[in-house]
Amino acid sequence: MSARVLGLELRRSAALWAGLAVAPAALTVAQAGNGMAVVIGDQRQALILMMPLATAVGAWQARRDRRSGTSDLLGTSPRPAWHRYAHTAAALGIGVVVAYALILVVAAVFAARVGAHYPVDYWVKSMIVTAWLTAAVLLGAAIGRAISWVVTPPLAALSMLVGLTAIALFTDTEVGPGPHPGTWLLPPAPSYDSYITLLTPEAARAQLVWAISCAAAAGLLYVATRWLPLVALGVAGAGLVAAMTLLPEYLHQGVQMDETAVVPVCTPEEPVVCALRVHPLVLDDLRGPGGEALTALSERLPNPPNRVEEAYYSWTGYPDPWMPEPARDVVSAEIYTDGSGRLALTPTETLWSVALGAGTAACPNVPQEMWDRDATARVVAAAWVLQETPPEPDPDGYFNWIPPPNVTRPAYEALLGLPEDVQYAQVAAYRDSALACTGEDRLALLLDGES
Amino acid sequence: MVRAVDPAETTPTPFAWAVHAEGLVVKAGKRVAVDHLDLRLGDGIHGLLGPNGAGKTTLVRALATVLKPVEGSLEVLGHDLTDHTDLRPLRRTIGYLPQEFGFYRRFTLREFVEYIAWLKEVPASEIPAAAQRAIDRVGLADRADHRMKTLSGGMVRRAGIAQAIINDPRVLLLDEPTAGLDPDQRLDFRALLRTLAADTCVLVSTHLVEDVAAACSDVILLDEGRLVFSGTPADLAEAGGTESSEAGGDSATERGYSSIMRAHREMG
Amino acid sequence: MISPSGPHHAIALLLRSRRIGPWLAIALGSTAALRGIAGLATEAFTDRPDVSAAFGFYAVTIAVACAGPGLAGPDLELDRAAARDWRPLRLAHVVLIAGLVSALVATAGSSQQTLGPAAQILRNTVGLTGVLALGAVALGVARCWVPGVLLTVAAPFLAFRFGGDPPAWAHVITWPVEIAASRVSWVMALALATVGTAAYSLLGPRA
Repeated sequence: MSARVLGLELRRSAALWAGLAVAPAALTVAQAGNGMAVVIGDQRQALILMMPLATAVGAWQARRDRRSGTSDLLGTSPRPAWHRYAHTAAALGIGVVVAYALILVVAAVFAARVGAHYPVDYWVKSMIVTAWLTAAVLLGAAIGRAISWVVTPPLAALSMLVGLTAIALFTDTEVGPGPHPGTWLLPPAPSYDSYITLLTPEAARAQLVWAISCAAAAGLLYVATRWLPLVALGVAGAGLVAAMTLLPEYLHQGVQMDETAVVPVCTPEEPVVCALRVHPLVLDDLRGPGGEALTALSERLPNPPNRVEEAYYSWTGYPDPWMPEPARDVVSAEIYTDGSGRLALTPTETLWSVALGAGTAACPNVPQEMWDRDATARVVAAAWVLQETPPEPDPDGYFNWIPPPNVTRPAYEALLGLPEDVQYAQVAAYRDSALACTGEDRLALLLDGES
Repeated sequence: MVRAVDPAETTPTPFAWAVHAEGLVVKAGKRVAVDHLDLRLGDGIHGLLGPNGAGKTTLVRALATVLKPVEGSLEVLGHDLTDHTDLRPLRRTIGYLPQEFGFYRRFTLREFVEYIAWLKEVPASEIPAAAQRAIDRVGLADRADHRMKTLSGGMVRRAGIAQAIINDPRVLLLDEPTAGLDPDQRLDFRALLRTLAADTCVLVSTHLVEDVAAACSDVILLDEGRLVFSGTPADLAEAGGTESSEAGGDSATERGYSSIMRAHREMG
Repeated sequence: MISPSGPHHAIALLLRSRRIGPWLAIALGSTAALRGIAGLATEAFTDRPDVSAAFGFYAVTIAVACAGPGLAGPDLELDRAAARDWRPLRLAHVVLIAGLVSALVATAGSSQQTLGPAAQILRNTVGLTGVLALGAVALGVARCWVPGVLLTVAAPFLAFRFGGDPPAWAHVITWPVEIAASRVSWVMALALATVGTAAYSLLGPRA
């Protein structure tokens, strides 16, 4: 490896453009406030953008000799051809890796500034992304060297896009309890990724081995002369076999909840309001409205909760989604954050959000025909606790699922029409039922005392 | 001017001729371009003349190890070229300027020459100095750090000559080196040829008869892949006869060229 | 110039110089391949018309992008120095590309709309040909495929990210994957077609 020639290739080849093909990943920095799990997850999704572009750049670079008419001259050189290709491949790979590393550094700085969370599999996942980007650019180069048409760059890029789309589509089926195992091996992350999902070490290693073997195979295909293309296929095949042996049979066996991400970060003084460790800045926005709601609940309920905790939720979990266990003395608040790691709700929306269902989280086992009634019950209970009339739903906002006022307000009036001690008793009974997530009609329980 | 010599070269050479071809047949595509050619070239500057399609470029490409001979024997510096096994040692000592000289437009001149030096396995520590020397010798020192795409046609040709001499080759093959050069530059080129080491075998393939006459120690004429004439430029000029003869041409050498060609074609 | 069969012969020579044969071969082959993949996909996903439309979009993009090199002759300087007025020829060239590609892809996908509805195919062809022509004017014939490929890669991704409700600026990129009933998408496609065709016809490709 000649440093002089490598420097020359870095300056004069398409290495810079290879770096630009990685630029879409820069957009994911906007999510840094939600923790690096989301950033990396978004970057993996963006691979379906970046890999075709990288392939185009690789194919363009590989046509350089054909474009310049240097084949005669290069054919008389004593240095074996693979030396030349190796330097070009190295330049392309460096272009991609350096660009991605820069983006990661920027995202990490943003995340650190808001104290966001770094999952332990962060490094492995970023290496997986790097390996796929390298594989794409080198595969493009290999194709461009083998088929040196003028239309090879766009054709290679679009073939890569069609290929990724088709594979994602055909593995998007259910096989037993969850997605097809083939989704493990796709460059873009399947949708099991969430802000609190961790890959098990075996699953992470499997994906990394597969991605690296693809990158190595692509590099060999580009640099190869004579019989090395067969070695390339062998490398890819060996990587696939190794990955398949490491992978579990079902998707849910390869993921686990990130316990460190859901550790509560709480206010030191009463009323105790807690956010998730994943995005600690939420606490600043949550403590005011959350504290208000908690105070209202402690005044209006016989066994009031003594703390508010932000709820986590991920349907990655199997058989049931990951969510906190309901507990009598905890209000599980379901709130929404934006990319900067702060609450995406106004203080009023936050207040209502904490008070919904008299301080309970929505039950996942409500059948579809009961949704409206259950939603009405949650809103009426919140209205009763806060002693405010139920609000109108905002069609563009997060609470567009709330039933309209012509449903919620009469129910609220009906509840207020009951004697005071009956109101307290029925709301308490409602809350117990909502904590236990029994399958009864909670609106009837709230308004009539029986379901 | 003396070339830097490495130890391998001071051992007695096991070959008599730098280029030795016997019954050489080389095809250009499907056409036989070099037809049973016998050729012996020693050190010195040889001119290769002939009409279009005579097989000059094909011959030069075969000597440069781009093309493989179909029949006959071809030895360059004692290496057998009839099968292309292990040509690396030979290729380190060859310099080649193709007729259609391709180059990387985005590279600067210096970068391109250094890249070719690296390809020719010039020792890494010597590359910068060798590149500077080659660029100076072709008179492009002021354009050394400009991109190749900014060079005019004649400069590109001289850049091609620079990359051909970068490794102080024992065999230098130049195909149309003066194409696009203005008269002053052609004079400079002839002067450059004279500065080449005495133990170099240079083959200049060209249409410009005057370049051959002025710079070459001997001339080879090819027509339809066969050797038509071999001798000194003076011999060629004599063959043209006097000014009033039927042969066309504005100088003695040109007249000699045309008369030999006519005679060869009349013979069938 | 005297030629055996007059303008027909000249046009045949022009088409050959622009390598229409190889282009047609690639366009046919890629459309056939995409039709095959899309056929398999629609069997597996009968309730997702956006899948067929996406493959139709890719087929159009590939065919149009490969027409790029034909937008200029082998020697631009020679063309520029010619006495002929190239403007009507260039206009006809662009129209020919759009016509052939839309006919090809629409016909290939006609049974069961395997490549999406014909209206979407037509809109995408018209718009993408305009983008190609604009690329030729701005970037030269060797790189004119770049804007079209960028658009093709970005459009489905952005549409997926924004779900059913993209903000106004997103339509500039997501128009090819929107349904035919979306007026904005037609406006974008026609605008790109008009600007691109006009620029290319009047100015010609950049060196």
